[in-house]
Amino acid sequence: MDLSKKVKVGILSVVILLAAAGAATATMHAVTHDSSFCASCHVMQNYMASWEHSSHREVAGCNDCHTDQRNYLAKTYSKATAGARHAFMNVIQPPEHLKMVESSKEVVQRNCLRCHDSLVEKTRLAEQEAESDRKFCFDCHRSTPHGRERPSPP
Amino acid sequence: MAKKKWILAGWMILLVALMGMTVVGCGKQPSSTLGPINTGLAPDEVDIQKFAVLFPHQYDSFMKNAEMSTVGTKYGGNLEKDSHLEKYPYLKTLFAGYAFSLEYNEDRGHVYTMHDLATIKRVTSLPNGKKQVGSCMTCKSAEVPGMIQKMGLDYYSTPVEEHLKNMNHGMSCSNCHDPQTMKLRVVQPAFIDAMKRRGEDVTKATQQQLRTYVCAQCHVEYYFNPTRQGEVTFPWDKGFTPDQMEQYYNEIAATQNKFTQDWKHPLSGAPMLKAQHPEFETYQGSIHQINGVSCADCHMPYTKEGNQKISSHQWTSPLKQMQQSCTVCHREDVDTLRNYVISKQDLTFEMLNKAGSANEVAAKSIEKAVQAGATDADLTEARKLHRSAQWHWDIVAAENSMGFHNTPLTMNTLSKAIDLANQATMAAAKAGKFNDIPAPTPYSDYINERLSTQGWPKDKGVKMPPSDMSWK
Repeated sequence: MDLSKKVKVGILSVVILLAAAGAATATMHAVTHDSSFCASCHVMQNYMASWEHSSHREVAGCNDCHTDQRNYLAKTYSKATAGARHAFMNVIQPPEHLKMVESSKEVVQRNCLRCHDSLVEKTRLAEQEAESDRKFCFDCHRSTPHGRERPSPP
Repeated sequence: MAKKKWILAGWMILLVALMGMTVVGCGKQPSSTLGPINTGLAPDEVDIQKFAVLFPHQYDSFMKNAEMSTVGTKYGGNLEKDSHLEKYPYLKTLFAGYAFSLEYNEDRGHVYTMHDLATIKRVTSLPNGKKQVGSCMTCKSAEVPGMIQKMGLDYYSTPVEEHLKNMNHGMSCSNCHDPQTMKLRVVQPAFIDAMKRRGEDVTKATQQQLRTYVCAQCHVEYYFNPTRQGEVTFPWDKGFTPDQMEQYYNEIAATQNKFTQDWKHPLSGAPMLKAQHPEFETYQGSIHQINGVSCADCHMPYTKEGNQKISSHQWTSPLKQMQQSCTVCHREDVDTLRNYVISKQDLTFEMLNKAGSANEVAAKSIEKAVQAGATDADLTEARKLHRSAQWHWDIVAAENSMGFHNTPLTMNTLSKAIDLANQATMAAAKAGKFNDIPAPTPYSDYINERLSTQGWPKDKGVKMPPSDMSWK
C-alpha cells in the first residue's frame, strides 16, 4: 500500500465516520424532537400534561425551552448531557419531583428571551447575567407553563 | 493524481466550512435588551423634567403618585392630611410633649414630599419659635445629597425654612438612578455609612440588592446625631430587629453620640425614642425577603405599556394592584390572596391598638405615681420599661404595612410592647402604692369599625383628585 492510498483510505474513513456520526446525531434529534418522547418516561408525564394545557403548547415544545438553542452543536451537547443524566437518574431512582439543575436555568432563561426579548427591552431584567442573586423570568412566572408542577427554586 | 488530491481537499474544506456555519451561524441570539444608556445629562442632574423627555413612560408612571385614594386597602391609603391623631386617639398621650402631637398624618405619594414637609405643623408651628432643622428634609428632595456634599454637616443644622427658599426640586429619578447611565445607585450618605459600619460596600451591590437598597435609603429607622450637627444616622450596628436597634440606642448612640432620647415624656418622665417608618428593617427575615424578593418586585411591578413592560414607578400598597404585584408568582385568585393579606393585617391591627392603649395606661400610671409622691429613684425601673414598651409599639405603628412586611416579627414586637407596658404600669402602681389603674382613651370609630369588620369591601374608600405639590 503506497502513501497516497493510505491517505485516500484515511480520508474515506474520516468521511464515513463523520457521516455516521452526523446521521446518528440527526437521528437522535429526530427521535427526541417531539415532546411525546420526553413523556415516554413516567416521571415526565405530569410536566407533559400541564404543558399540554398551557398556551405554550402551540408554539414551544420541551426542546424549545429546555435545550440550548444557540446553535446545532450546543443543542446537541445540551441534549446529550441532559439525556444521559435523565436516563441515569431514571434508572437508579426517579425523583418524586423535578428541579432544574443550575446550568439548565441559563438555558431556559435564554429561551424565554428568544421569543419574549422585545417585551422586556425597556427593563433591566435581561441584564444581570454575572450576578449571583439574579432573577430569572421563571422566578416570578413560576407556573408558566407547567402550572403547579414546577416547584419553586431552591 | 495531484489534481484529484486538490479536489478532495477542496471538498473537505467546504464540508468543514458548512459544519462550521451550522454550528456558529444559525442560532438566534436574544438581541434587544436595554443595554447601556447614555442620557447625555450632567452627572448631578436632578431636574425631573430633563428625564421626562427621555423616559416618558416612567415619568407618566411616576406622576401617578399624585393620585390620592384609600380604595383597595383597609389600613393604608394615600390621602392629604389623613390624621393619625384622629384615627388613634391614644396617640395624643403617647406623643405628649413632642412635635408628633401637633400633626401626624398617613404618608402619601412621593410627588408630595416637599409640599407636606413645608406645610406640616411639626415644621411650621413648633412651640417657643423653635425651628426644625435640615435633617428633617434629608429624604424629601433629590437636591439633598448634592447639598450635603457642598455644605457638609452644616446642611443638617440649617433650619428647614432657610433650605426651602432655595429648593427647586422634590424627589426625582436621580434619587435612585445614575443620571447618565440610569443604572440603580444609592446616594443617601446615612445609608451608605450605616452599611459600611455593617461591613458592606453598597457600591458593589447587585441589581437585585439595589432594587431594595434604593428604597432603604429612606424607608428606615434613623436619628439625628447630636455630636455631628444632627446628621441623619441609621441605628444598624447591632442588627435590624427592634431589640437590636434598641440595644444600639442604649449602648452606642447614648454613649458615643450622646443621643439619649428623642424627647422626655411629660407624663412618665421617661427618655423616649420615636420610631420612624422602619420598612426595610421589618422586612428582613420575612418569608418574601428570604426568598430573594426585593421591594421593587412587589411595589414596582412590571406593567405593560403597549407591547413592552416597564417597571411601575407608582409606589403604593400592592393591594391596589394585586394582578401585577402578587398573581405573577401566586396563582391564587385575587380575592383569596387579598383576604389572606387583610387577615394578617387584622391580627396586627388588633394587637397594635392593645399595645398603644397599654402604653397610654403605663404613661398615665407613672404620672399618677409621681402625683402620689413617688420619687425619681422609685420610678427608674418604670420609666425604663415605658421607654422600651413604647419603642416596641412605635416600631410597628410607624411601619407602613400593618404587619404584612413581616407578620411573625411584628407580632413578637407587639407582644413585647404589651408585656413591657404592663410591667411599667405595675412598677408605677407599686412605687405610687395605688391599685386603681388609670383607663386608656376609648377607641375611635375608625378603630372600632375595622375591628368589627372581617375583610374589607374592595370598593370602599375615598378618592381625591391630585392636590397642590408646590412648596413656595
